[in-house]
Amino acid sequence: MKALEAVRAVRGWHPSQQALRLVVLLGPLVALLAAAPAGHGPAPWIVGVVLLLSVLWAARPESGGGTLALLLVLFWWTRVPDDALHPAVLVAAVAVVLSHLAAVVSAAAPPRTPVDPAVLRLWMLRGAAVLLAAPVVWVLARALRDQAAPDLLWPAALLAALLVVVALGLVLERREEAP
Amino acid sequence: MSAQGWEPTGGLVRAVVVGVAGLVWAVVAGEPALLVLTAPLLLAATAAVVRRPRSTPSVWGTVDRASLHEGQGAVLSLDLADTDPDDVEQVTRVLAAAPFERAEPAAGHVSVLRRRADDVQVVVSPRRWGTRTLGEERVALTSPWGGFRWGPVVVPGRTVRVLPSAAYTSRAESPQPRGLVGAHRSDRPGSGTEVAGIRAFQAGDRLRRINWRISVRTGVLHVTTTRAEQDAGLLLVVDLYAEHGTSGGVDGAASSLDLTVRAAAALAEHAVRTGDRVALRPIGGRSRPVPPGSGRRHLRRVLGTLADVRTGSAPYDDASRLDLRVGAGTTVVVLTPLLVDAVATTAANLVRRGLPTVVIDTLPPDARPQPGDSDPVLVDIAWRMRRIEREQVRTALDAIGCPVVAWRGPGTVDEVLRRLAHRRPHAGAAP
Repeated sequence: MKALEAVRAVRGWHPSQQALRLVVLLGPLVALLAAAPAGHGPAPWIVGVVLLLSVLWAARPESGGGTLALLLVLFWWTRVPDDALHPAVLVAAVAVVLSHLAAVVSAAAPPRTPVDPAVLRLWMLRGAAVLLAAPVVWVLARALRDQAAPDLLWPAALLAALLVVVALGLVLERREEAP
Repeated sequence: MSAQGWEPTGGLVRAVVVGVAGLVWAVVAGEPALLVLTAPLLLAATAAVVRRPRSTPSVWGTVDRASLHEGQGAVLSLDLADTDPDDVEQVTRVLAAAPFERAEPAAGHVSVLRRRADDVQVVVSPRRWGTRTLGEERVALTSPWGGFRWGPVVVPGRTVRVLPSAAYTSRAESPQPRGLVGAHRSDRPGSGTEVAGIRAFQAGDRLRRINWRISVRTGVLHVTTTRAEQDAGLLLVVDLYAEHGTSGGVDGAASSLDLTVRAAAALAEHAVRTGDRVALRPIGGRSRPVPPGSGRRHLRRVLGTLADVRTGSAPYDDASRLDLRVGAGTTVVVLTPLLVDAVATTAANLVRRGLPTVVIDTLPPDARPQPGDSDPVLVDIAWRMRRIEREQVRTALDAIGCPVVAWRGPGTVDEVLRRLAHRRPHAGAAP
């Protein structure tokens, strides 16, 4: 009975919301399954857990289900042998970003509300912009992986990355405040 | 309407948690792939934090109409006062669902970029007369990059009087017009424009009335006579004892009260348009009478009173107490489902006084009482008996010269009024 009610509720959603939430649902699964070509296919149990969390996320885009689903995806990618810099990780990155942005857009309004095409265009542009970071990091990581790294390289890189983020934030903030 | 401050969205929390976790995990575990996966989320989260809003919004809703007819639409506007335009990227409005209201677009569910918010109008259309609260909605604002959300807050609506639709045009004459001026053809000759006949010239006739063609042909002066034009009055008696049937709004099924109110509104509109005086006398229920008057302003008063009528369970007025104080030259239209004897008695008394009286039967053909906790079979039998009694009342009224017609929209009363107009007034007609 509850399943029937759920199906009825989903059918009451606006088609644009249904499409967005389908992207939310499929994103973590695609990101997880992309680990298979990289050499470590996901175990059935993790596929099941991620699927459940994704369903929760698609139904309630503001819930913590999405965070848990994405953290599980990250966990599985740590188990991929070597350094997991297979091109499939880029597919996983696209899936993660798409599901995250689809959840952000769909959470802005109740499910019966149609998604404004202008809102969708704006977020597609934003998605394309932030996705550029993935191939840049991937190329850098592949270029540096054969070189012997000093012990402090990664912590230094982390510190540098954080500093860049903070500096970028401050620059953008000042630009916002400028008349 | 101002409310709590901006709150981080679930999307921002997710991007920060997954992004930072991926970054730290990548460094600690030496897994650059995690950085590939989470770097875009970190960038999105950074942009959202940088563009965090700082102003405190105030939202006010407005409705562009103070009153409107059922079926018409009112535009609901949203005023984002004291809100920095850069703080709000997306505006989400969800109109509260209300009976007998239709909203466009998407049933009042709108979520658009702020720069387009003025272009997308939310229009709400009340589908039934009455006093309604239009424009109650929940509003949420989202900051750039979806980082923070304000609301949803409830923006209260505005009380609007929804007037009954009044589309009715009749070409029928008033049965007994009285007075000095007006638009109705009188029984008496006078200086109107309607030709009454041609007769021989008499002392006092105006020269411009001479019909030269007839005069030349007969060799005797003849004049063309016309009928006087006089005003008339209309008294609308509305029965508010109970509502029968189900209302589906202006484009659905009509209850007895719907038919009563809409028919009264249409008749009042027509009377005012033709320059007649119109008065309203509710019986039963809760409403105030409207004294005779004419003009658009008076019509608005009548329609406003009709929009506010309520049925009531007050004890039935005794027929003798229903003193309608009807003057000569007034046509009485009684709008009733004919289920209260006092109303039929009142109509019969008016007819006996010689006043032209028409009863409009407003009982929907498919009206059925709700059995509630009672035995449905008994309720059905009682209802059938009541309908038989009703038919007897209709027949009795018709027999004493009070036509009873069912309201079928425009033109229903025309034929009856025409027949009444051609009847001579009773000997004992009111002066």
